[in-house]
Formats: sequence, C-alpha cells, structure tokens
Amino acid sequence: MTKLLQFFRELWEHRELVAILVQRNIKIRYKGSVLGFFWSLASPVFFILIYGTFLKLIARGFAFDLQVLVTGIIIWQFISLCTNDSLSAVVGNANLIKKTAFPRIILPLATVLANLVNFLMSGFVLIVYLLMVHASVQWSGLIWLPFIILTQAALCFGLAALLSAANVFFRDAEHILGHAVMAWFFLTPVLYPLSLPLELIRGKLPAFVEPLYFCNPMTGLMLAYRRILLGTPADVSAWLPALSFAVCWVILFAGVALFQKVQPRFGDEL
Amino acid sequence: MKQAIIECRDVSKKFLLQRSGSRTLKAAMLGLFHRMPLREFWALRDVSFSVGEGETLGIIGANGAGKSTLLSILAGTLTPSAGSIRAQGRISSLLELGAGFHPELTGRENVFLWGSIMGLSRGKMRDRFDRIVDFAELRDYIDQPVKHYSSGMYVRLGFAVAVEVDPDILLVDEVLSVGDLSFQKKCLQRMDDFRKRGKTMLIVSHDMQTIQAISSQILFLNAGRVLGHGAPDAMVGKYESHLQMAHAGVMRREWGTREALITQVSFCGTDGQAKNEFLWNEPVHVAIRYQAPHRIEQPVFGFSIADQSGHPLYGNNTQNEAVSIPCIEGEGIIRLRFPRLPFSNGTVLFSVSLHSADHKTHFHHIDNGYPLQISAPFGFVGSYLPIQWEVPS
Repeated sequence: MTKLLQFFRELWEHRELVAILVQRNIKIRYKGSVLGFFWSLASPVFFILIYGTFLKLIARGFAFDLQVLVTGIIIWQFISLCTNDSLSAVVGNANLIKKTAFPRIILPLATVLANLVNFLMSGFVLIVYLLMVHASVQWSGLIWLPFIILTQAALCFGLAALLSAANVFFRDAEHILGHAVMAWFFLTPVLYPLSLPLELIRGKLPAFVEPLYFCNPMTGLMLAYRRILLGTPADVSAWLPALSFAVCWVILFAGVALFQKVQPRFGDEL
Repeated sequence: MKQAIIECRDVSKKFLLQRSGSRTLKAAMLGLFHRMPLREFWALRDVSFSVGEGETLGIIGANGAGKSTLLSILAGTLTPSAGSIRAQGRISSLLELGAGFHPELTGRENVFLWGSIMGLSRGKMRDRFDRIVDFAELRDYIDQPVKHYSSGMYVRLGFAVAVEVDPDILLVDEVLSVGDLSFQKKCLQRMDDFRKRGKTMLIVSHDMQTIQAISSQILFLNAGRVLGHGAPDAMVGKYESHLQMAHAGVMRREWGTREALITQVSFCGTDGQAKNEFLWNEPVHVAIRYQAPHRIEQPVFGFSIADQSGHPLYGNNTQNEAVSIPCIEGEGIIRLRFPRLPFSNGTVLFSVSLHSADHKTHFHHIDNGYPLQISAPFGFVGSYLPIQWEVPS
C-alpha cells in the first residue's frame, strides 16, 4: 500500500516532466512535416475515403453507413496510434533512461496522453461533422462520454505499458504488433455496425460466443460511443458492455504492474 | 567523518552478456526448453563504502573497473543485482558525455526537460535559465536543436544544468576531459564552490592530478572490487603502482630450449617473508629454483634488472663473477643476495636466464617476468650512488 502511494507521489512530483514529454511527443511527430498537426486529422480522413470507397463499390449487399465508418475510424485511431507509438516509448528514449533517473512509467503515459490530446481534437471535429449531417447525438448521454474516453485511455495505457516494456526485451514485438492490430481491427466493429457480428453469432454460433465477443474491450467501447454519438440502440444485455469495460481496466492494471516489475532491468538491456 | 549521506553496502552488479545481437521472441521460446547459457559478467562485486556530507569522493581505476557502473547505480539508472544503496537528498548526475539530451529538441527545451526530470518546476528553472546559458556560453545557440551541437557544447550545457539544478549530491563521470582548458577551469571552479557550500560530490576521472586535488577521499576500484579507500595521495600512489605492475605483465617474455627450466623465482627481505615491494635501501634475497631433467655441465645463471620500458639498468651472471657451477641435475635452488636495489620510486623488472657456458644454447629465459615495486622516500633519478658533496663554506 505504501508502495502504491509512493508510486503516485513520484508521478505527481514529476508532473512537469509528463507535461514536457507530452508536448515533445506531439511536437516531434509533426516536426519537419509541412502540414503539421493537420496530419492528425488528415490520416483518418484518408482511411475513411479508402474504406468508404471499398465498402461502397465492392462489398455490395452490405448496409453501408458513413456515420458508423467515421466514428469507428476516429475511435480506432486512438488505440492504433497508441500501440504503434508505445513500441518506441522506452526504446526510443534509451538516452534518457541510461542517463537519468525518473519513474519510467512516465514514458508510456506521455505517449498515451499525447495521443489522447490528438484524439480529443479529432473527436471535436467528429462532433462537428455529426452535427452537420444531423446525426442523432444523444445529448443526455454525453455526460457518460468522459468516462468512456477515460476507459479507452486506460486500455491504451495498459497496452502501451505492456508493449513498450516488451519491445525492450523482444525486439520482434514490432513485427508481431502490426499483424495483431490488423486482425483486431477487423474483429472489432469499426468498419461495420455491431449488429452485423451479433446477427451472425446469434444465428449460427453457440451462446457463449457472444460474451466472448465482448471480451474484446473495443467491442463494448464502440457500442458505448455509437450509442451516444449516433443513437444506435444497444440491443444487448447491459452486462456485456460492462464486461468490455472491466477488461479495459484489468489490462491497465496488468500492463502497469508488469511494466513496474521489469523496469529495473531497462538500464541493462538498452 | 560527518553523517553518511551515501551508504553503499555490498553492492554487486551482474550483467548477462548475450552471444550475439538482440534477443528475439524465438530465442526466448527456445530458451524455455533448453536454457541458453549466457555469459555472466560482474561489473561490481561487494562494493561497500560511505560518503559523509560535504565530502568529495574521487573514484579511480582502469577502464572496466566498474567506475561508471557504480555511478550509474548511484544515479538510479541501473539497479544493483545485490546489496543496497542509501542516498539522502536530490542527486544530479552527469554520466559520461552530455546528459540525457534529446537530439531533436533545442537547447532551451532540453534544459527544461532536465529540470523536470530533477523534479524542478518550470518557474524555478526559468530563474536559473540565464545562469545556465551564461555558464555554458551558449547564448547564441540555445534555440538550436542539440543535434547540431559539438561535443564540447553538449558537455558544457550538461555540466551547467547538472550544477545549476542545485542538487545535494552531484555525480560527475569523466567530463573534465572534454571541453577546452578554460571551460575545464570554470568547471573546477564551480565544483569547488559546490564543495564549499557543503555539498557532496562523486567524481570519476582518469586525470589523476585533478582528482587528487579535488577529492577528500578516493575509492580505488579494480575489476569491480574495492582495492582501496582512503586519502587521495595514498590511493593515487597505489593506483599508479598497480598500473605499472599490470603493465609489467605485458613485458614478460619466456623462451629457450627448455632442456633445463627455471621453475620459480621468489623475493624476500631479511625476515624471509616473500614479497615484491621493497625500500630502495633494503636487502633483497632472491631464490631461483631450477629443474634439470638431464645433467648439464657448466651452466650459467644470469639476471638483469630493467626499468618499466624494459631498458636494462643492471645485469650480470655467474660466469662474469667467476662463480663456478660444475653441473646441475634434478632440482635445486640458486640464491642471490642484493645489499639493496638502489633505484628511484617505481617498478623494476627482474629477468632470469639459464644458458650454456659458451652462450650458444639458451636453456630458459624469463625476461621481465618479475616486477618489483621499489619505493624511495626522497627523489633521485636512476640508481642511487653514494656520492659525497663538497660545498664552499
């Protein structure tokens, strides 16, 4: 317990460092590129164009919904950029680790926070877009949005801690990650509405697959976001999205605990 | 000694050396089934010492002695494999070249990054910013990314920040060797101020003169172990003689037909205790053990004494001195007594030879095989001759 307290006290003492690293992460990402911060909005737009064109032209018979696609891609961007950036969160700061002492957990934390800033900005654009197309945004539900975003950030932080530490010891984490995230992307209702996999599961598969599908933390998150932003009816029992949310927090604790366990060895490995 | 501010107890650090390249998941998976033996390397072994408040501890030792590892452990960037470290107060460190700077960020941004690592607020850093920049003499470059800095600029900024964050304990690793003379002077000046304010410092350096002048205590490390901890003069002396002895090993050469062998050469004083450190005016007894499997007629034993670089100072043999040895067979000992080895402070190298009377067959030579440490309480050059001076009254 005192250990936990000390952990938070050290973090608090280094809040300035967190702020500087977040700034630095944002700055460095766009340093040397002409369009700068604009890219963080441009890349989801490209994804939307590409997948939109693909779905519309090729996947006929599929109930294409642009609003589903746009929300899906923007929400997915947060997790996909976090996991990607976290690979270099520790390894890319070998210099700092070898020369200075500070709570190492700040490195994946700053990565996630920088991406959170990004996500909030694109989220703002997303809401403007939804208003323009008269989407049925559930205003009363907006109060839940901070909690949902926080839960997604918790998931991101847990994964970032896990991946940034793993990449110190196993450099092929980065090769595996690309494929894993791609598979996860197609498994999660990003491009398609949740109703699509649910129909499939309920029609053909045994009952336990449905809760299994909600063990994917992004399933519940997508459901919650779309419930609020698009007014999509939930159509599942409430404990299933709750399961997804719980998984997010479990991943956070597991990731951070693992990170803390192995971080004393970073200096030796880098 | 005042209250200990740093206490190091039985600290050891083990590194696992990998065979080649970086570890992969595949290697780890395979490792589950049969454990690949990693080579262990102990960079530090049972290192214990303490530093009192306001003391300056110099750390010396050859390359690979563990100096930098020790500082890294104190700085908190490495974790000891065993033992414990206790340090009171804020530690600022300058570990090898140039701190934890980020190459893409400007000097200014890096200064604030560092301050925040030290836990200083932005406001506090702003107050010190001008002093840092002035000290580092980087006013014109402070808004350039540090990747464009020269190594001298890098170190200057690093030192300036490390000192100006006003730590309780300052760790400095081999920084003074970089930067020009005027900056070195400034650094020393600043370290002196720092010490006078009652702060604690740990310094690693190969520059014996500087470290001797600035330290109040010196820790002498060799191959990860503490060989000495004490007054600067004594420790630097010990280190230098250690270096000379180590160097002497390189000079050793052994050759010959080996029809007869010199099996052991030992040195002792009048008390008969074997040793290899002598005073310049002390009697030295040498015992040369030999072994001759076959009978050898009229062998000649010789010796020579050389300086550290192998230049002979004196040499002689049984033949020259008309000591007749009719024959040798089996094992035996030849003894040799010097009234003194009257050389100046330093290491001399002792060589032994065994050859035939006509100098055509060399049975066994051990050149420069036995380093001896000579100490003289006063300075003279070369070998001492008992001279009488006559001066006008």
